[in-house]
Amino acid sequence: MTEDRFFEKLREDAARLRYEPKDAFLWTRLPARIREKIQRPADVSQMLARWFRPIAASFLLLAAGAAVTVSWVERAQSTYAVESIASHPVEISVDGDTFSLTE
Amino acid sequence: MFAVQSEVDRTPTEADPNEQRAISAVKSGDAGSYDYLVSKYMKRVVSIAWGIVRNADDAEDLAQEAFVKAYQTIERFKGGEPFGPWIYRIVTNLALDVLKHRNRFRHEELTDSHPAARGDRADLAAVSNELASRIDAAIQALPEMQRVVARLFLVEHFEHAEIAAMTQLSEGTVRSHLSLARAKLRERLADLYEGSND
Repeated sequence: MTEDRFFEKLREDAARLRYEPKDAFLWTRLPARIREKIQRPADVSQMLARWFRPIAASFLLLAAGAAVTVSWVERAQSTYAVESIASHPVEISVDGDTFSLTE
Repeated sequence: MFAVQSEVDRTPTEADPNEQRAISAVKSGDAGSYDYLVSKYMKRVVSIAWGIVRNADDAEDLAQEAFVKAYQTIERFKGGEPFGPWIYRIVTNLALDVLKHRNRFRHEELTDSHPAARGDRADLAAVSNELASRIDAAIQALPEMQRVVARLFLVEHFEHAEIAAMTQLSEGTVRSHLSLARAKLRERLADLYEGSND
């Protein structure tokens, strides 16, 4: 028998090892246990979590938006200051000589 | 105790309009529609769990936990896809966690009269067929991950890609485990089909 044929037969026979209890009670008990778990009314902590989660997410978004805005405004202001200095050259006169800080 | 399951349970990837309707209804808040999914998949989910943990009570608890977890996270489930692979992956991961936990506390179990092995033997007693018993014993003698992969492939008839998705291993790793398992099984079961005309 070839190796492939050996494993084909082994796979056919191994299918008998699938676990399926004949206990009919199990197949009614299990869905009932699941139903009981998923339909149980939420307790106080779950209710609070349900309310607070979206609120916390909103605050997080607001904080992120504020941080981005502040950093953008600060950057715009510093760019304006540099441009402002560059467009108004400072000249110092000493002993009749004039020195420019931008040149 | 062991039996071939119905074909409905063995073909989970085929499109099932009732299944898609049930998923949509559950997503809309109709918890009662979840019964359809539980009824359709529970037998195979229990079988997968039992194959890994080898204990009837643990398998039932794991099946319950898997279905509850799937329900609680159903919003993340992509519409139009079969529910089967998703619930199989959840139960496999939960069962593998149980194995990890057992390994961590193995020394305590050994001093506690082998509780896991006790359940194992009790369930094995139901294997009346000698051929099935020998195959089962050979698979059980494999190292842990080879055993898990071999069982999903040989007993549950999952393909390599499905096993990879369920166990979160790469397909190459699954093939490697399976190849090592095959070599050992061939050695241990060499006489199994002696005299067969195939």
